[in-house]
Order: sequence, then C-alpha cells, then structure tokens
Amino acid sequence: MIFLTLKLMRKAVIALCLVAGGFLLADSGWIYAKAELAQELIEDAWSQTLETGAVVKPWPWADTWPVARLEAASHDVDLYVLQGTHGSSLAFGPGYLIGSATPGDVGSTIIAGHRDTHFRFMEELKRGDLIKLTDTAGKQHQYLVNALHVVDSSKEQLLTDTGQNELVLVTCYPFEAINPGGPLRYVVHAASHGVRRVM
Amino acid sequence: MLISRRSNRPLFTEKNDPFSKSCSRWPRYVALIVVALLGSLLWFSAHASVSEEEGISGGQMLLKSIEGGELAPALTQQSKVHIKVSGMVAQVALTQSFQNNSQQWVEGTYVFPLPDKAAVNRMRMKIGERVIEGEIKEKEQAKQIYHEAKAVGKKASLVSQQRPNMFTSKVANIGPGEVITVQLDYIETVAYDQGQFSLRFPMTITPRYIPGSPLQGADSANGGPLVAGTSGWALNTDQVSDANEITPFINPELPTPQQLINPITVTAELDMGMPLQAVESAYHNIVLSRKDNLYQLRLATGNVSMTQDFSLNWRPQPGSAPRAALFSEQVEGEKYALLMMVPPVKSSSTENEPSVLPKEAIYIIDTSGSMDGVSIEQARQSLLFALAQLNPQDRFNVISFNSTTHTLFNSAVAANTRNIDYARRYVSGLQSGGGTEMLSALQAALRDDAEAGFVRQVMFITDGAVGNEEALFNTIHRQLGNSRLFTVGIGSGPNSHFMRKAAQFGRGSFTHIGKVSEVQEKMTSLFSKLDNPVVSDIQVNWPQGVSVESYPKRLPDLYSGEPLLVAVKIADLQGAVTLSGKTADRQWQQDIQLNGVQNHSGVATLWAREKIVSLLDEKTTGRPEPEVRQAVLDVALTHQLVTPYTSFIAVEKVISRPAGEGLEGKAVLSARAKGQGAQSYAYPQTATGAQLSLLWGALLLLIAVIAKVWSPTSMRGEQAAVKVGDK
Repeated sequence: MIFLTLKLMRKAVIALCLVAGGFLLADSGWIYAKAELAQELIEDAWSQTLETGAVVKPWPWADTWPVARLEAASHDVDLYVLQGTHGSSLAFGPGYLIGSATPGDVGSTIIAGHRDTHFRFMEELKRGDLIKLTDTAGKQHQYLVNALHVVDSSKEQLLTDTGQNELVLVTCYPFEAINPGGPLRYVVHAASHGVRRVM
Repeated sequence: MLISRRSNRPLFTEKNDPFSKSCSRWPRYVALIVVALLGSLLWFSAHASVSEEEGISGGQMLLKSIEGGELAPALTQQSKVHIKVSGMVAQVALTQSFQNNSQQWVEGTYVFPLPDKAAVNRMRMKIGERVIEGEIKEKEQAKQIYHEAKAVGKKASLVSQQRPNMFTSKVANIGPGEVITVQLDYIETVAYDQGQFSLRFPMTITPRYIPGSPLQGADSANGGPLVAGTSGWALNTDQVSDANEITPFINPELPTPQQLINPITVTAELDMGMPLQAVESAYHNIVLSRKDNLYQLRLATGNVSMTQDFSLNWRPQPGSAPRAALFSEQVEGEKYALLMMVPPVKSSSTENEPSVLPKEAIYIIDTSGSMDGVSIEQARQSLLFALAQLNPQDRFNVISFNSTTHTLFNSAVAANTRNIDYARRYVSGLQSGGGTEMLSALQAALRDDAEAGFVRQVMFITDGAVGNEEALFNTIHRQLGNSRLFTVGIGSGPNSHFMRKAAQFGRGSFTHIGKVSEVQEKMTSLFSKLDNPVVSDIQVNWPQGVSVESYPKRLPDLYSGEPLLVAVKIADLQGAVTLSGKTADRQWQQDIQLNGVQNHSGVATLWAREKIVSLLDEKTTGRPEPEVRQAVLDVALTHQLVTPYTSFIAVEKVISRPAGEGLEGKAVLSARAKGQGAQSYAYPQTATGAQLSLLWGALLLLIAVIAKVWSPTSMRGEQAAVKVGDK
C-alpha cells in the first residue's frame, strides 16, 4: 500500500514538474519570440509611414506604431522604435517616451527598451559610439554616446528639458538580474552629431 | 551542490543498475539541458554582479544648467494674491509683476494655474501709475489686437485660457528695466464637505503627457523650430492641437530660501458671519489674527516660491455648521441666486446602516494590451476587492473586454457565496492582450435598468487609453438611465480627462490607483463613499409661474456630507423653493424662503460660469461646436468672463518702443513642484519576466529529473521494508 501511494505521488510530482516547467519555458520562449517576430512585422508599417508620413499600425489591434528607426551599426543593432513605453509596446520593440523631445528638438529624446531583449546591446555601448535615429520624415539624426550612468528609478525621475539636443536610452539594470522588477536603470546619453536626409 | 551529488549516483551507469534500464533515456537529455540552462543563468548573474563592482557606480542624472550661464534671468515674475471669502463665495485678486532685467525690449509669456472653477472676470494692466482696464474679446480677435499692438510698439497684455485650470499671460513691449503688472480678479465658490470649508490656490502645473503624432509642419506653423524660452516643450499633435501652449518649460534650478523662484505673497480674510473653530493651512505656515468674526491671515515668511498649492481649511464652531444658505445679486435688472443646502441625512459612520439601498453592481474590467504588466494586476486586485465588499442582498455582474466583450453572467445575479467564488476565479484568471473596444462593453453594462429597490452602480476599471472619448461620453450620456458610473483609473498614465468626464456624465466619481499598494486604501475610500446613504433623485422646485434658468442642469447624487449647490437666474425672488430627494428608506423635502435674501456680489458671475461649464458639456453630448461656441460667447461677453473662446486684452494708447529697437521673446519658467524632478517622468519598466520563467522552468524540470532518478534507491528500500513486514 505504502509503495503504491509513494509511486503514484512520485509520478504526480514528476508530471506536475514537467508540465509546469515546460509551460514556463514556453512562456519565456514566447516572450523572446514575440520580441523578434514583431520587429519583422513592424518593418512594413515603418516603410509605409516613411512613404506617407501617416501613423500605420503594424497589426490591426496594435496599441502602438513605429515612430523611428534606431541603428547602432557598431553593435549590429537595427530596431524600430514604437510609440509609448507601456508594456504592450516594449514587448514588441523599444518605446519612445511620450512627452519627451522629438528628435532634433531641444531637449532629450528618450527611448526605453527591455534589457533582456531589444536593448541587451546597451551593455556594450561605450563613449564615442555612433547611434542613428531616423524619424518619420526620413531625417536621420546622428548622436555620439557621451555619458553612461546607473540610476535608481525609485529616487530619480527622467528629465526631458535638459536644454540639449540629445538622445537618451534607458533600460533595466543589472543586465543579467533574474527578477524583472528591480529599481535600477542603465541610462546612456548621446549628444547630437548632425542630421542627414536619407530619403 | 546538486550537481556534484547527482554525479555520485548511478545515473550514468546503466549496466550496473537494473532499475535504470527500465527508465527511459529522457532524463539524461533533459538533465543536460537543465544543467546548461542553470549554468548559463548562474554565470550571467555572477557576471552582472562583477560588472556592477567594476566601476559604473550608482550615479545621478545630472541637471545641465541653461547654456550661456545667465545668472539673473532676463525676465522675472512675482505674484501677489489676496483672497477674500464671504459666505460661500471667494473673491480673489491675483497680481503678476513682470520685470525686465535686460537692456532689450522684451515680450513676456507666463503659463500659470488657477482653480478649475475660477471665473476670471476682470483684468487690468498697470505701468507705473497708469492703469489700463482690460476688455473681454473673442479669443482670435483679442489675439489679433495684441499682435498689432505688439508690432507697432504699444504695451499690451493678453490673458487667455488654455484649459479650465491653465491660463497664459502675455505682456508685450516691456522696456529695459521696466515693470508691468497684470491684475486678474476671479470669483469661485468655496468647497464645503463634512462640515468643513476649504479653498485651494494652485501654484504648480504638473507636466502633461501629449499623445498623438506631431502634425505635419508643426514646426513651421509655430514660426520656425522650437526655441526654449518662447514656447512649450511639446509639438502640436493630431490629438492635442495646442500641445505647444500647455507645456511650459520648468526652471531647472531649485529655489532656495535666499533665491525664490516665482515668489508669491498670499493674504486672505475670512468672513463667515460666525465664529470659527479652526483655520488651518495644509502646507504653508500662516499668521492669523481675529477681529470679531473677521479672520485675517498671511504667510509667516511673507513670500514663498510657487512650488506647492496653498490649501486653506476652516470649520465653524460645533453646532453652528450651516445646513443651507442662499445668496442673491441683482445685475442690470436681472436677479441671480446661489443656493447651498446639505440634505438632512444623518451620516452613517455606524456599520450596517439599514438605510443603505441594496445595490446592483456591474464591474467592467479592461483587459486590453495596454493593461499589460502591472496594470492588469492592479485592475484584478481592485475588482477582487470590490467583489469582497458585496452584501448578500446585492446583485452583481462582471464584464471584461479587449477586442471583444465578455459578460460573465447573462444578467446580474445574487451576490451569494457561490456566484462570488465563481467570479473571483474568473477575475483571477484574466489576462491582458488585444484591442480596446470600450464601446460595446459600456453598452453591455448600461443596457439593463436596475430592478426596483436597487441602486445600480457601474464600476469601470481601465487605463482609458482610447481615442474615441467623444463617442464614449455620448453613449454614457444617452444610455445611463438610472445607473451610476464610477471610473477607477489604473496605471501610471491613465487618461484622466476620460476618467473624470465619464464619471461626471455617469453621475459618479473618479478614483485613481497608481500602484498595486494603493488598491486597498483607494478602494476603501471609494466604497465608504458608495456605502453611505446616498441622496438621489434630487429635485429643486422653484415657485410656480416664475421663470428660472438654473445650473447644473443635471443634479448630482450626493454622498454623506456633500452639499447641493445650484446657481439660478430668476425673474422674482418671492415665495419658497422646495428641495426634495430620497434616501433608501425615506423621502425628504425642505422649503427655503426666497424673500429677504441678503445681497452678495459675485453671484451673477458664478451663475454665468456654471452656465458656461454646462454649455461646454453639451458639446460632448452632441450639440454642434459652432452653436456651443456662440452660446458661450454670448454669456462670456455679457458677464466679462475668460473662456476657451474669449480672452482679456489691454492695450496702451501710446507707442513706447522706438522703431528700430527689436523685441525679444522670453518665457517665465515655471517653478518645479516640491518633491518633483525637472520636467520629469517615471522610468518605464524595462525588463521582461522571461528569465524568471526560464529559471523556474529549468528548476522544475530539474526537480522532475531528480525525482525520476532518485526514486529507484528509495523505492528499493521501501520494498524491502514492506517485505520484512510481511514476514
């Protein structure tokens, strides 16, 4: 009797762990897959936006749309930036902080991304790196990285009216922390380095 | 630990172990994968802690000072406010002095806050001893006059309204070293709740989020690219066409006691016609003096920086708290009156007051993609809290929506344990994703009317991230019936405009929950409001045969301690007005005599302000804008009020700026609100739970493997034990 119960329990534990473990792995995989695949889907919307200048949603029920293209050639980075920094845009791409300066204007243009998907490359950024940001009018704004900080988001707020034309990239810190809810943020400032018209 | 111990087990030596033969081969592979995953995660974590130590220390986002290092700003502004309260009416005089410290001619722009119910009815421009009375004009016309005066070199000032609580002063042609003062007078009603009077003078503007995409050519429409100092920090967008005008720059410097930013002096006098028990200022130290029933006060430090609202509360001696009041004024042959009354309902602080009507509660929860993350958690917690508050005699239903609407029960059901448990399970399982089709959910919620004897309350939990507000207000307005709509705004940036107005059209109230930890407190206070006896179906019956025009047109329900406020234009102040309403168990009615009412200045203006608010709401309920605009213009021009369509303009006759001298545009920077960063936003959440899921997934698989692998030994032991027992 004891033997049977134990055997059943063992089987149950194994089955349970397998199912739950598999589910969690799938969930994790889905997050990564979404982050990758969505950027492909956004590409079409972005080229339409460039052509027409209009807002184009990448899929009909989207809560967001592409507003810029972010490139850092030295880190093999080419991403579409989405409107807003809410969870449902950051899942699919880096997000433009609504209310921050538009590229080229005085003030900080702020873009945030997930440290474990799109903005993982921020770990590699160093002073002097060139970052290009193409806006919906097809103007390419160039920036050079000039400062890198870690800030405590529970004590600091994001500033937009710094009086400088600059790009600010924000992601979570530390990069390899397991828990997603930590208060630290990694903030990279890049100063304006001219504008080019690409199309 | 785990790994080394496992390597001692006979896991990988199939030949020696008969039991392992019966096991399939999968544990090996899974184990390898799991070890690899765990290993990489551990390595990552270790790596992270190293790089933290490697030198990128916790730093700050440093403020960069304004370029050029101007020590004294070219244009400074200081204010003086005097508040005179008499009965329910506050008359406020606000003077703004603009001082040009530069050697050039300057045009100053200053965006400033006022209470959202302020009726601005007078403006004067003072240059030295000269006073020029401002005139109210249609907004575009006023702007035109201002620009012409500015161009020819005349001193001029323009005061316009950007939002009900946000105004702009512009002053043209301030000469080098000169001071020009703009004085604004406004009237507002004093708030009265739970026997306490209060008044708030706002001093800060919290930076607003600007949604939408910039309009084509937004730069050029504003006369070239944006330059700090002349306009706001945001470009106009398709959704906020005046974004540029409502986003003033914030002074990056922090004020110090030696160097105030936008200094203001505050003085006030209270004449309630009765002795007061207490007069308190919530955030500023004041000096108070008393002469009979007249209380005078001023700031203890004389002046302060405009970094925190001035909030004043006072309460009458116990027992003398007024239950009703009536003030009137006669202006150009017309009679106006302001009626205040606290319904004769005892407040039920004791629990289980029998007079609470049973309720039919309909909960709508937004599960759209924009609620992803902590928002949906806040929403779930709020809803679970609400379900826990239901009494057995109540009825309820739950509606969730994203791209489609799902109604939990076909119609409202009894709030018995079984139904509530079922709903709790449903709510706990809700996930976010998809679109935000709010209309059908609202329609579903408002489709039914309450059964007799029930109060129908619709609680709408959402972040309000929608673009079709007008259509939604329209639906609420048309389909509300006898329901009440309460909005609960979720997340760090909910659409407050939607929340507030939806609640108003829904005859309910608005609650904002910004953090999961706030759910308990905010929902408790909302429910205590809901659970006290509500006074509903309030009617105001004016004497027979007398023509009246009274506002608000739709009277709100009153929660305990709240007074009813009605402004009326009335042909004759004779006879009595009858007020009636009902609470759960009884009908009440009260007469107030209209004869011999004391005269009180400002009442006509307050009536006009109420009428304008009411007209502007009609825009939402379907009246075409041109019609509303015309109606508002009529009232505003007659009563000399600043509105979205009218501005105050004052122009000096003489030309003061010599031809050939240029004019420099300067903006007065707003002082940063106390405790707030410069033009700051909360940091977004920038990590996914993917790694956490990965770790847990890997751990669980590892446990499965260990369970599978370890069992043979332990089971052999048990089998042996059983056999021994048999013998």
